[in-house]
Amino acid sequence: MAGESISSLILFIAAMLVAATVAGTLVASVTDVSASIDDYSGELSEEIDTDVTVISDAGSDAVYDDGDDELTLLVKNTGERTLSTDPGVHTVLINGQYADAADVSIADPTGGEVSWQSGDVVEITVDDASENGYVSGENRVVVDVGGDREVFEFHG
Amino acid sequence: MGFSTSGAAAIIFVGLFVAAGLVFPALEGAHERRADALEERTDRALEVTNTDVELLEASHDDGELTVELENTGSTALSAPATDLLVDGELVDAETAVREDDGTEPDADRERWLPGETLVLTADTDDFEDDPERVKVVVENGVAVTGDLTEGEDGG
Repeated sequence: MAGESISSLILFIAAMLVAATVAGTLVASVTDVSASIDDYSGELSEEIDTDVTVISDAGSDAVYDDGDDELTLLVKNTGERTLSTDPGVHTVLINGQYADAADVSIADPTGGEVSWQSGDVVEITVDDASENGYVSGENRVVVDVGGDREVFEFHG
Repeated sequence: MGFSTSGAAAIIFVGLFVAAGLVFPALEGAHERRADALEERTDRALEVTNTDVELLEASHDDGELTVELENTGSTALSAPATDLLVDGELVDAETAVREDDGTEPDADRERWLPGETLVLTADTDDFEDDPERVKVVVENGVAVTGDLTEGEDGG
């Protein structure tokens, strides 16, 4: 009789341990997933809040500078959020070719200190444009800023 | 034996409740943020659709460039956030808003309302050649382009 109750006790303790482990693992996984959902929703809402427009005049000669082999785009922040002015975090593709981040710079078009708040315009310059995909004739430039892609086509 | 099963079930149920209690606020918050962001984006899109500007006049005379635009849409626009491009170069322009009764433009006005005219003035002395084209971009990215006409006494 005593042996039976001891084995019942052992089984009971084993059942409690298994149940507690299952519940603990469940809670831990759900906490991880919740944290990921939280991060993702933050990134998603930032991405939706981001909106830029390339305002360069495709009908003018100011987009590509022959002498310096420089491509200059004026990009306006038409979204709700202040954007980074670090060229490394944005992507420029010229005719499908990735423009080397070292050749890309972001500056204030009027020569002041650069900031890219809502409504501000910055000048994105690509040096050595010919090596980064520029061809004489029709060109297609894609600018990806914080998840918002803008396509700009010009002839030059 | 019966007690072990019900005890284990109770612990797992408590675990499930705690998990549900943790995941619900995260999902709720995520949904709310996404819904807010989408609503703002829809509002911006609506504003762009309702925005329309018409280039009335673009001329340069004696090194001074004047561009007049009428707000023909139904949104109030910001005068300082309006950008002027002359031959593709961004130019720092002075802004003034003229009401539709034709009074003198007021340089202190910052909002440019439907029916009103925005007068942009800038120096063209920095340009080597006579400027030919202008492009005006309002705050939400709506743009108009036009050719510049030369004043009577030349640029």
